[in-house]
Amino acid sequence: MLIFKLAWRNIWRNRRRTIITTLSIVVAVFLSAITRSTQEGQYDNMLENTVGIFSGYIQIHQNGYQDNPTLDNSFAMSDTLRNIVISQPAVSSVVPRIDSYALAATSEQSRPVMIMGIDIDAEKQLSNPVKNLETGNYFDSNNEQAAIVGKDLLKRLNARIGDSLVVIGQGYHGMNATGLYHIKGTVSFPNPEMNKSLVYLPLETAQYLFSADNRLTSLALNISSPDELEPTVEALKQDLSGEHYEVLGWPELMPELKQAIQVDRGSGIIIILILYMIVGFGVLGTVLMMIAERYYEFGVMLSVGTPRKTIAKILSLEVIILSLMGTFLGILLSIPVAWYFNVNPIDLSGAMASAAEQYNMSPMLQFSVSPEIFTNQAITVFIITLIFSIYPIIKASRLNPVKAMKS
Amino acid sequence: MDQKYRKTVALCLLIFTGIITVQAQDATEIVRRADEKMRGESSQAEFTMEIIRPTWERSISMKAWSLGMDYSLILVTAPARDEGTAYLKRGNEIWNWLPDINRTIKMPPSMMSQSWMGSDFSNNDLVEESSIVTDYNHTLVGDSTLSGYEAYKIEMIPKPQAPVVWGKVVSFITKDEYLQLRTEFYDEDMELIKVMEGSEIKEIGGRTIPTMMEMIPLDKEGHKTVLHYRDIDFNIDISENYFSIRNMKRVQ
Repeated sequence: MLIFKLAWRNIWRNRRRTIITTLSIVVAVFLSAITRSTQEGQYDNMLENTVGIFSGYIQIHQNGYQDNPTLDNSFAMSDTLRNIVISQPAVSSVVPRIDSYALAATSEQSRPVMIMGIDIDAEKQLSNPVKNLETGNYFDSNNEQAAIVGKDLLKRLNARIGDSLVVIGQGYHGMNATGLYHIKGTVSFPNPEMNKSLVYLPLETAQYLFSADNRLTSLALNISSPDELEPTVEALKQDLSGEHYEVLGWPELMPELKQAIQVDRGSGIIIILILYMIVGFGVLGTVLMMIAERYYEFGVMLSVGTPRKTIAKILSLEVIILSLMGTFLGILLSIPVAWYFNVNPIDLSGAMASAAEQYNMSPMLQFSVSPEIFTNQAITVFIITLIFSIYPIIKASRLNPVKAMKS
Repeated sequence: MDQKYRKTVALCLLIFTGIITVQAQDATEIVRRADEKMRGESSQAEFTMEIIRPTWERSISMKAWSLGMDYSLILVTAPARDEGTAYLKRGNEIWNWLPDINRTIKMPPSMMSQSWMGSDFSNNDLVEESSIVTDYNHTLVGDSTLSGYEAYKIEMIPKPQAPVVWGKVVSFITKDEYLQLRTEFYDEDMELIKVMEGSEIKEIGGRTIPTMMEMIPLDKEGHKTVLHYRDIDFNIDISENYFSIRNMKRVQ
């Protein structure tokens, strides 16, 4: 206890020195936390805008659909499956779909399109055609003979709202798939590819078109938070084991997105490592100074019989207290900043905005407020501080008292 | 001596080439008769096509009319979903009538090699632009016995300008009835690609013919398409007008 008292008093004996040391730690924690927070925020944005809109965080397919996405690899929807999925606490929405490719034609033009058969209510939880509707109206029922198309597709087909759209393709088990629908509206997404080739049909209409009654190609699930991904996938795999389904999380559904994030994260980590180096040597400098100017004092302590271990202990405690204060203050400072930009994202404009859209991201910079970002940065900086303090502390406890008092 | 020797050689050559021409004519003649047997000047048929896959199978019922090499019309009668869909061949063009979207589609050349209605037949097979009689050179390469029938084995090499995708075709034709019981299709590398087999030989429409034809692609395990002829009439009274786009839409 005496040691603790001594360390505490030593710290406040020279306020300026303490404040400088603490500040360097605070700045380090603050900078690294904010850097990570913007990065993770971008990834969340990316995920939210691709996974959260297009694929869902988890998908259930017939075995083999991921490698060979054809209608022949579709599955029949059953109550058993639905109940198993709903019983997962983290699953926030269940979105059934039947997807395939076909040729869409008007009297003037034909284009290859991606047909997406959607449940008109459930789909609001995912790609949300209602919110992204540009012109016209949304579907009224799941068996309506109508189509909603991407805005650029409408232009390419030389068509207008209300025109007929003919769809020709191949359905389940090689059946002919032909249908005639009126174009009811257009949708506009950030993703240009979708605008050029997407045709929404109500679920039952699409199932009839493909001669695939009650069949789905995928069941997309959204979850309450991205952190629930792995446990939920595992739980579903458990519950559906022995069935003919495959359960895939978004990293498996969209490996390219996962890789893009990994690459970006890697480059971010390099920047942070540089930051850590700077912080480390800063801390080393201040701690070295802190100890160097107290050589005389240590010499006296040693001469009157203080064990070397005790000196090392006192110094270590001082450093730990300083680091704790610094990291704590750093977190305290960075959280409100990150929080503010999480609630009020920075709007990007110009070139940055168009670059973001290329990655299917909404053009804004939203900070992430995942708690682990802050705790991780604090812990990392804390450890770095301790590592860089080892040398000066060892040096101080090995002092030769006579030399120290002479200097 | 020298004179005599030359004469003998000449005679031998003469006889030998003679034999070859006789043989070739023979092979061509066999193929021609087999072709006639199945074709006739005109015909009307009812048949079912079964598409067999490793995990599923489905069947489609059809009616077909043909006139010579140039005209044929196929109407789908079942399943209900495809009922009324029709395919018309005029010369080397195929038209497809799709009643539920009220459209007639002319098949582009690019689609000719694609699967027809999801089966193992391609659109090309449907409208056979080539004739096994006139587009190939035929050689009799031996005899064999197929499911109890004595048969000729005839190798057919396409003529240089013929509209044929195969490297060669080997056909087994029965000796007594000139029935094509088995036809092997090889690609340009002489790899066997698919086999067509005839069986269930019955008297139907006044002729004895195989009423079941199986198309077996060898590169796809468990894939097969089977045609069952339920009814067939040859040399019916039918004119070219029957094979019009307008008639394709209303034929029953």
